[in-house]
Amino acid sequence: MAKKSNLYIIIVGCGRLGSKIAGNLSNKGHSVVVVDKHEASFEHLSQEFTGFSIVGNATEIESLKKAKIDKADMVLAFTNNDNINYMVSQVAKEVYQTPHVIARIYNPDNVELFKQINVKVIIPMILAETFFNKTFEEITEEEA
Amino acid sequence: MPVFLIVDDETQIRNMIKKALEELEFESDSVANGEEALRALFDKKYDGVFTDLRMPGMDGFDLLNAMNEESMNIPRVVVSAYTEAEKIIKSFQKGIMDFITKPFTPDEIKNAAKEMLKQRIDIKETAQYVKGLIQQNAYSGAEKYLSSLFSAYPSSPIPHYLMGLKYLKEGSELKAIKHLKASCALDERYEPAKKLLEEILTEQGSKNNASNKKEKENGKEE
Amino acid sequence: MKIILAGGRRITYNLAKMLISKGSNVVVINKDKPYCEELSREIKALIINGDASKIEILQRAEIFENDIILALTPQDEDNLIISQLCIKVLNVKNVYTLVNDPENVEVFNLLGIENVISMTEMLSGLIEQRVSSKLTNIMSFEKGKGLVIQLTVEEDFPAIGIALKDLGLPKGSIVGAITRDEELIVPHGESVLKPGDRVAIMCKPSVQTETVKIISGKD
Repeated sequence: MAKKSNLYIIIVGCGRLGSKIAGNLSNKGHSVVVVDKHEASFEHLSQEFTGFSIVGNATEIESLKKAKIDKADMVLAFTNNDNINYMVSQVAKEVYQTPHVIARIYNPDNVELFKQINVKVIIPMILAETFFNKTFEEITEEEA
Repeated sequence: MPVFLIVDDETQIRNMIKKALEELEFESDSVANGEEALRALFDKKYDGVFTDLRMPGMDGFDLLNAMNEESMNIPRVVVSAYTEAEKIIKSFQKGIMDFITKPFTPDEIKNAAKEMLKQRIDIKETAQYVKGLIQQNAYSGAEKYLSSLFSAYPSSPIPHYLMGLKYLKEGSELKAIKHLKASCALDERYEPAKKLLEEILTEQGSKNNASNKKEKENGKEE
Repeated sequence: MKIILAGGRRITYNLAKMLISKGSNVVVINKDKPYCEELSREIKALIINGDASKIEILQRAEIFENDIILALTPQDEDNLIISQLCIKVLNVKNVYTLVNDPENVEVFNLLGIENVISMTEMLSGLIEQRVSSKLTNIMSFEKGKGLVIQLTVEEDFPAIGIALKDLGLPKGSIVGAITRDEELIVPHGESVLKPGDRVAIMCKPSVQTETVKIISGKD
């Protein structure tokens, strides 16, 4: 992908992660659209957020179409539900050929499904574990 | 240096459109409602307008109407959260070039801006070309282009002016006058039509005087 | 060969009972513990209490390639995961799934799941059938390669009184059934249509208009 300064990014799920990333990306100058089932979730967005927000159920394709998913450079599936994140990811990849899709999942068991469709995954537990192992090693080395 | 006018009551939206245009190195001015937009349009010559529909006070539809009444032949694109067919149809009936729904991508804005610039160049180029055809007496060729100009720019004085030119060359003065008058009615500041009309009328006037004189003389003789 | 019912409540309960009474080997997977306990008292089947969208639960059911699985949960995303796990990881050939949002029928098809049923679509199709005597598309099958359409024969239809074999119906369409006076007749070449008949036609989409024109005289 040629380096584009202004990507069109759809973030599904405006929880803590979704809203934070939304703010970061819009600060960097990208066009961000956040989709969430509940309007109240958009209160998580920072004051400086300069993107769009759409209320909608991500498992209904109408909501994704409203966000113009066919034009997205990137889709981030950040809801609290692994299965919804999978559905959004697969629809983005296989129906709309979105170039880049990243999903956050809590349960590592279904990683293989995501890998098969070329979707990168963020697994908080694994990241925490990796970080802990590193820190633990450092601590025990110090002690030694 | 192309310059566009952005009309939207939300700062965020104005900034997003501005940023997108900056990527093409296009300049832009931003206003928050229809009244400010109209004032800006009187002050400066813009290459195109991006306008929202829902704004407090003078809304997008009012602005489009006002632009039509003032014969401002600047291409305009609506950028709106409305997706209902009737709103879209109503906008197109007021003569917009495109309707972009929110959320929009920077690419949609950039493509619309480029299209608007193409429109401006097109009418000038085509008008020149048609003029050339008329001068060469290639009337049927000129007519073909004229009909497409009429449908593309219904509120522009130029197609009527060119039509007037053609009829004049063909010798149909009355028809020429009709079209030139129509051109002036659409835009009284359009010089070529005004001048040509004046020329014809003064010529007619002097011809009338000459024939009146002759009649009088004849009358005297009898 | 087992039939696995994943998710769902009433529909699963009734479906399980019906299948068992026909002699099928049924496995039920459900997240709800009290529901599972009740089921195990009522029906003779292996009941697994767990989330069918998790691979280890599906593995507990020991699903083989020739088993049939039905994803019946009320959430389309869960049915999607169950289907994909079965198709991509467990290589099950016969995967059927319910969807709640009718728009997801097409979406699921695009994602590689062939047998997708939308209750809302089915029900509205049935209602349409009852309410109007006009042409109704009852269903499409084989991924849209075949259609079943139904229409009621009216007095002015040109096809009335002519033997079906002489109607000149295009290749790729056939009159499958005629309902006359509450009786279902499977027609043959000599059968003729009468006013008031409800005719069910199976045809390829490409000859639908021609077929309807020949029978009804209208487009």
